[in-house]
Amino acid sequence: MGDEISDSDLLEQFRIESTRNHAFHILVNKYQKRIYWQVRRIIVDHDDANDVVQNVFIKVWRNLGNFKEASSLYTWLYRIATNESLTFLKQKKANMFVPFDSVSRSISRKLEDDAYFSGDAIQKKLQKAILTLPDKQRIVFNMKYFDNIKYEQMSEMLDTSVGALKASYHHAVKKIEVFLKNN
Amino acid sequence: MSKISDILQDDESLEKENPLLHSISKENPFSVPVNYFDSLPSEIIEKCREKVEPKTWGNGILTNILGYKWRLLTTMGCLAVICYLSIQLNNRPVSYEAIAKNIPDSLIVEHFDKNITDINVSTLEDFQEPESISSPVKSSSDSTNNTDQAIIAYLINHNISVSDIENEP
Repeated sequence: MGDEISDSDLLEQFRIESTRNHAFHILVNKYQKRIYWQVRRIIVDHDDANDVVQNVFIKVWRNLGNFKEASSLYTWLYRIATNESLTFLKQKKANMFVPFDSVSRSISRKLEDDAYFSGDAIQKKLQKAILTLPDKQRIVFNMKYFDNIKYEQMSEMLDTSVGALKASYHHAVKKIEVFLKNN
Repeated sequence: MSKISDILQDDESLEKENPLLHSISKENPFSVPVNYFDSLPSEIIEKCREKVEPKTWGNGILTNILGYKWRLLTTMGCLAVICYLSIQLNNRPVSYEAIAKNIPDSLIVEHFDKNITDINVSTLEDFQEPESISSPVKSSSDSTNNTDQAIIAYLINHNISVSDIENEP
């Protein structure tokens, strides 16, 4: 099974020309779901998330040969996915010629008719509350609340101190609670 | 303002302090199309191959020509040429004859009557056509006399009487 291969073996196979394609196929199979859900929680819309995920793996294909293994492969992938998601939102903002909160509102409106949202009303409200948060707080909240990633690992992924991440999460929780009370 | 001790409290107690958030299920509320994750790897690998394949000459040129930047540049270039030509046409000098053509004679005469009081007639001769100066037009009475004399001479030379001419049908 593809998931059984270790990251170091996978990287070794990728560096060999004859096994490169096979190794990359295994890598995509191994990490596609985790990367997709990380992107989807930031982007919300499935079609947009699909585009971003494809771009993430194209970047991985191009740069994996230069990966120095200073961090784990998953941390590296997670960082690329987060950066690509933020870049996508920035581009969307630039194309709309409106402030970012309008992009958030536009995503929030899309959520109303999203065929691929299977949650209940209160979950939808929570997603709308999350969309009101600034970028960094939103990412930190998603990572902590839904994926329960440890602050130390998050610190490595987002290149931010543990204290700053804790503060971000604390503020995010408070803002979401206020949103849920008032709406 | 939040205290540092509040911020550093453990997440479980933080969530319990916020009962509305705590009551919401942490289950993933999103879904994906059927078989999405089965087809995603092959789609990604296909895209990676497309990016790696070198562009052919024709394909590259066509992509550039049809590319957004080129279309924008071409449009701007065309606009610049149109602007330049219209400015050039508007600034082209117009001859006095062309201007005078559009002014009625009555207005010109009226203008001279009002504004020009001391015309020296001799200066106007300079504006006469050279041909008219060298061969002045003969008066109508002179030409009539010349014609009559020629007719009379012709009639005498050919012994034609006036009555013959009058009897002709």
